[in-house]
Amino acid sequence: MTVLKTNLIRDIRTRVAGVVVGQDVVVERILVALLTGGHLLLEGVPGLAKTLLVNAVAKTIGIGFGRVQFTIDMLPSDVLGSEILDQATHQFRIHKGPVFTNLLLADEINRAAPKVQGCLLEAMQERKVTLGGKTFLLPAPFLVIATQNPIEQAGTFELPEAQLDRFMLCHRLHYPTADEEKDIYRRQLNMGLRRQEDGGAVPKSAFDMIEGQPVCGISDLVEMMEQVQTIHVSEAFTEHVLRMVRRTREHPALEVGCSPRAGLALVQAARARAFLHDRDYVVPEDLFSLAEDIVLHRIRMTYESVARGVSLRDVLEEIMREV
Amino acid sequence: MCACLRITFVGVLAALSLTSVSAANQKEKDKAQAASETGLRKDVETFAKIKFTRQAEEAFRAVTAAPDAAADESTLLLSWVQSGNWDEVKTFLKQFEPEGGRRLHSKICSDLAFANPKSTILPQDVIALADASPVELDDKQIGPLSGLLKLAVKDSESRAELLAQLHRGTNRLGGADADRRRIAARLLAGADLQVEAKTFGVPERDLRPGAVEPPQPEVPVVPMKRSWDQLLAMLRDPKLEAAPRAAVLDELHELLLVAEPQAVAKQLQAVAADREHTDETRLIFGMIGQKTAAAGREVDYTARAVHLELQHRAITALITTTKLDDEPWRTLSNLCANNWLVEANNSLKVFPLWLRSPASRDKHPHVPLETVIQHAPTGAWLAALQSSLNSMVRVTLTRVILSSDNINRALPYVQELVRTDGPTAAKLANSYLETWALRHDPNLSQEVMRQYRVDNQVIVLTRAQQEASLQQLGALLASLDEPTRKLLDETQLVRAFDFCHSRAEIYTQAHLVEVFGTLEQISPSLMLSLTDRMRNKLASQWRDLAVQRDAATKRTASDVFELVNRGYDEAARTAEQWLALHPDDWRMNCTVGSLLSDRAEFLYFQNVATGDDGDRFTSYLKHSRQALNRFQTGAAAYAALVPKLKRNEFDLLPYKSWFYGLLGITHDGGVNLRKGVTREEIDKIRTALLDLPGGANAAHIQLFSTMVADNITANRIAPEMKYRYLSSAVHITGRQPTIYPAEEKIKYYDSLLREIRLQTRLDGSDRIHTRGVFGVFVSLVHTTDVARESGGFGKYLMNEVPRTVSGKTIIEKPLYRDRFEEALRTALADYFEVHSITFADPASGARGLEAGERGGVSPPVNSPPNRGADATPLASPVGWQETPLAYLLLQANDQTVDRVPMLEIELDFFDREGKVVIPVPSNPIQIEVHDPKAAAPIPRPATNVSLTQIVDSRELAEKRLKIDVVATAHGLVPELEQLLQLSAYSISLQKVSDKDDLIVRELHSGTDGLYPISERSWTIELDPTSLLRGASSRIEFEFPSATSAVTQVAYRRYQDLDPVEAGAKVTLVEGADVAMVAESDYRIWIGGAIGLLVVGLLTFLALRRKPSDSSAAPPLFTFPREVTPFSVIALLHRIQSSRAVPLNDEQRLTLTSDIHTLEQHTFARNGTTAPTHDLNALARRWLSITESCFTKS
Repeated sequence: MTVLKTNLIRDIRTRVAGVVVGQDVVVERILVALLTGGHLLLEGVPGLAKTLLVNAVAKTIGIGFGRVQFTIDMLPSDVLGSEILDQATHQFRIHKGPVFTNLLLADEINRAAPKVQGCLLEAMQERKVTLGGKTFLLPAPFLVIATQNPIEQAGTFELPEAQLDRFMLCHRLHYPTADEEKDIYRRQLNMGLRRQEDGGAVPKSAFDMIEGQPVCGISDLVEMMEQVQTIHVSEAFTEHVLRMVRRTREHPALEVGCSPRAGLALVQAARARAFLHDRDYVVPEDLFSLAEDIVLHRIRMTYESVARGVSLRDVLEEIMREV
Repeated sequence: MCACLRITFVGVLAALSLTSVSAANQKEKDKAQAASETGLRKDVETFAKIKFTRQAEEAFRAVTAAPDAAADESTLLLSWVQSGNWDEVKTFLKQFEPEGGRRLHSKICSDLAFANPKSTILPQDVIALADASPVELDDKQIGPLSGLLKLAVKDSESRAELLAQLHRGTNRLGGADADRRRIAARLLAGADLQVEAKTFGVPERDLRPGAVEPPQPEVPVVPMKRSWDQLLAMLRDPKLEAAPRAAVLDELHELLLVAEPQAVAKQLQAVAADREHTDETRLIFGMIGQKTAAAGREVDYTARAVHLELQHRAITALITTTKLDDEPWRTLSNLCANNWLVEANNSLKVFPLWLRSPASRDKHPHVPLETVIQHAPTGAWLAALQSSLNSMVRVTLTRVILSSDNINRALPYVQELVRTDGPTAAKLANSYLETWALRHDPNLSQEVMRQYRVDNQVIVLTRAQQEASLQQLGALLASLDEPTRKLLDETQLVRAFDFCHSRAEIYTQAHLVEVFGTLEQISPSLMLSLTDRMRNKLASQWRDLAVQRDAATKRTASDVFELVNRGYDEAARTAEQWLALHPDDWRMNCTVGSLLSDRAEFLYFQNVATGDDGDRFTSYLKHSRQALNRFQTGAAAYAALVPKLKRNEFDLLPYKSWFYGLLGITHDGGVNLRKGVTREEIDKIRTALLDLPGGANAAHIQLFSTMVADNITANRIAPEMKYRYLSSAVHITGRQPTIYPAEEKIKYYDSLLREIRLQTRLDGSDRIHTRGVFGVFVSLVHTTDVARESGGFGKYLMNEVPRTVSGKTIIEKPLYRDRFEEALRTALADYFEVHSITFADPASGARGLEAGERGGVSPPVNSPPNRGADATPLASPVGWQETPLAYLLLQANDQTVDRVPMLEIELDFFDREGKVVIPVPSNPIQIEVHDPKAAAPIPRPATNVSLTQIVDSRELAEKRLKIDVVATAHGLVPELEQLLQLSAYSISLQKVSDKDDLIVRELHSGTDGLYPISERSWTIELDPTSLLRGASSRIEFEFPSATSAVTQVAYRRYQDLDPVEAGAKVTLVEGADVAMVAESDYRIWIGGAIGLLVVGLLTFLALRRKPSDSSAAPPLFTFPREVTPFSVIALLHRIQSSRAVPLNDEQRLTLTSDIHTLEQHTFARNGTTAPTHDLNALARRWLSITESCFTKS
């Protein structure tokens, strides 16, 4: 049996838990995405520490981190970069945009116009960007974690199914439990002030808690990714995933079922989860745990089902029970 | 012999010729001898070689040159001509023999007239030159002099002084002498002053000789630059030769051009004040004028402006020190004024071209108008000018000002001109008014409109601008003194008023009063012009939606209607109020009559357009009556005036406008085809004409007849109007030789109707029920000959008609069908509700009429209504045919209707003058309308009735059952009760409703007759309870039966959306489905209820005796339907995570271990799938454990 570097995973989780209270599942999803090279879409109301979490993970692992706040007046060049005329040299030079990083946090992606969304999702898919006639490869690993606020609908552009499919996982964040929330308050109360160079001071925030050296680097991450690829997936598991995926396409309550990309994502994510749980093989539990995040954003219900008040979660549960 | 004769003839001719020549020579010798005897000179040839020119520079030079005692006679003569010293010229010419003097005078005139560049000459110079002639002027002198005069007046309107002088008479021109008056007239006519020449008598010859090659001016040598004082000192040196002197003068002029204006003025004043060196002073000022004149031929307009300015400064400097009345300053100032005049005329000519567009500005340079105005002769300079030149300058200056931005500066000049030259002042005053109005036009230009359309959310300020412009116009007119105000043409006043108006806004009385004063102050002609203009604009411009759109008023069609209504009200109110002050103004009465007539038309068609049926016809009659009254008043006022009029002052306008108003011919020739002309009104016009006093009646009737005959001859009468126009005109004039062609035409048109007419006939009985509809056939009944010649009447049933022109087929849109339909609806609207008008197939053609045919059609035997006795039908039994046109479905409005009124169709005919449209009428039909309380409408004819019944049981479960009934018939489909036996129907009816009203699908015309094909449909809603109650195996349905055995009946039932064939009895539901829709019988319900009660009681007792072994609660976990590692692991996970199962710690550990083991065995590398029986055992074991734990708890 291969010796897995799961101690690193433990360290990462510990470090992140020191900054963010609860949200273990989200940390796990981020790590799954990192280890499999997929992208993650986080849905949740404001104030659930989405940005903090991603920032903490990036700094813990020691990879490049970039953040873009999407707004309606953004242009593709604001994300990808552009060719600009250097006044000093009178020559054009390439100005690379924030997409050139390892971990990109696309905050409130549904606020940007479809043109901007489209260019980012294309970069996510192809992992390269063309500027001024030249093609530039994006750094590896490359992970986009996008967030969107499901509450506000005014002035937003909903991502279409085809683009949602580019995200390996779509995780819905929930409010922390009462104990967790109490812990958050307590931590904030004990943070104190941060003095500034100009003599002033501001209250410390959770971002100030992200400090210290990263527990690992890109090489460690790549090594972990390689190990994930060695995780065993049994025939029974593959068969089961296949049945489940196909069932989504035949289910009468669904208008659009899962694509093969969803099946692949299920298998790959199950591998990563098995790795995170210190196993070298995947088990049904991996599938049960990940199915909701991988499947729900890829399927669409029929009008009649929506009218009957059936939810996507109900349908998925029914499919899982059937197969 | 012939040769001898010829020689003799030639010899005679030669002898005669020799005799003649010798006679002439002898005459010359005698004259010369006589001359020598009188001491007159003969050496005219010496002076005839001189080339006489008088360009501006030469004139300036000659005027300012010092007298040269050593100069020979030729030089002196030329200098006198150039300096305008005509007295010396005259004295000189008198020295010669008369013929020689005449020749030399002609030479001077010709040279000056045909010089190129053109000579500089003033009107007074021309008169003086003419007077210098030693003999009476002949044609050879008048021609060039005319040319010179034309050159001198420079297209100026100001000729008053010149004319006055000629009328007073000069040495050789005008005055009391008839010959000299004739010569003056010929001189003026030659100068294109035809109007002025008429006061003397117009000559027929105009001489226009060619031009002469101009002399090339010498280019002076300009010396080096020197100071003003140095140059002045050099100039004052008496030893200075002519050439250096000219160079010094040039240099001085250059210094003047570049020096500061104040310095120039100072230097020139100093020179002018220098009494010791008057010769040099003359030279310098002459040089300035000379250079200004020369610059006037250059293309550098900046230089021209600078020269003009320098000239003005020079004259201003001169005025401060010298009197311009003295010579040579008087001539010099006149010549300078001429320089200005040339420049001003040039700018006036070019300015409009320059103004045309931005692109044309580079192509048409000129001295700016403001510069011209600034340097115009004024004050003492203007006063020093010759009277005619003075007028020309003032007129030209006024014109220039009128073209400039600030035209108000022109008013003082106009007011001054009123005293000296009334006609010119009038022209300028009107021009001023026109320019003023154009400058105050509030309407948006095309460029602005194009820009506006891009952003049409702005508010256009046209109306506000209009208010301001009108206010200013009123103030302007009020500010004019009485003489100037009288100069203004009233047409021009109205135009100005119009210009100040927005194109889209009506005139109001308030505006009229604001501009022209109170109604009492407005003169009759002005009021007439204003009213006529209002009428024209109301009828065209103000009701035009495109005008409103272009003016950006955003008015809708209804807004425009409202606007025009207000316009008519304002116009009528203003005119009526004015007429109250001038009741005898017949012209105004007639114009107001036309205005009211237009208003009546407008209101009527407004109601038509807006679909407001209301009481439009009554309103129309009321307004028409007002208009006719006004015409009548106008005619009466005119009649009262007739005794004072001469025969050539007779006017037909009162009767013509009355006649046109009556016929419905609007001002622009538009024709109201619907306007009926009553004999009573025609009689009134005739009576008014006949009652004219003193023999004027015959003259006026003759004038009327001539007008009608002229209109016939010129073919000016619209085709639609010919018949009505001619028949009415003939009635007015009676039998007149002049109007005979009109009489003939009326007879001819009436004769056309003997072979064709419109026929209406009822479909069925003439007893009509007010609640019921009935049909009327409308057909053309005609002879076969007319049908053949016309090519059929199908085209009257089409809106578009194909026509072949030059081998190509084009589609015309005469809208015959629409016009016919409109005429039918208009005629019927007051009596009937028109349900539908079904037109026949245009291709169906005519059908022969046979006695006893349906409806009893027979050839017309009565004369058409409103036709004379000549319109009786043909007596011969020629073949008659009927062309069906339409079938009208009508319903009487009320019981008072007693007839179907006369209907008309307009048919096209062609006579020798072209197309003529003749209305072909029908006879009214008597009908009898029944009491609405009568039992039921009387059935209309209907044959071949067919019924289709479709039962709809698709909603039987909801206790709804319907029958759709569709009936068709040849004729009009009767009521449903007359078609089906509904009263005896086994199923009770809930509701019967008309699905579609009676529709006439087609007007059939064929060998089987003429009849409409109609259709009607109903929906019968039934109560199905009787069918459903107690039904067990099937539900049967039976359609209601037809009342008549001959009615064709078809049965259908709905299968989904499609009706399918069915019988008179149909099974609606059978089998198991019956239970879903059937209603149980109440006895079965009661029995069933008792049975259920018993069964329930027994069951209860049984349960009480033997309690159930099994638990009522459902199992928490079920055995997987398909046993796979996945399903078993899922089961175990559920048990593990369930809080309902109280597993002890040991059991939990075992469970975890089992899960792990199974996962490892199945999913780990090299793992194998566990056998099914093992999985079964594992699942059952844990289900059993779970159950036991749950039971214990």
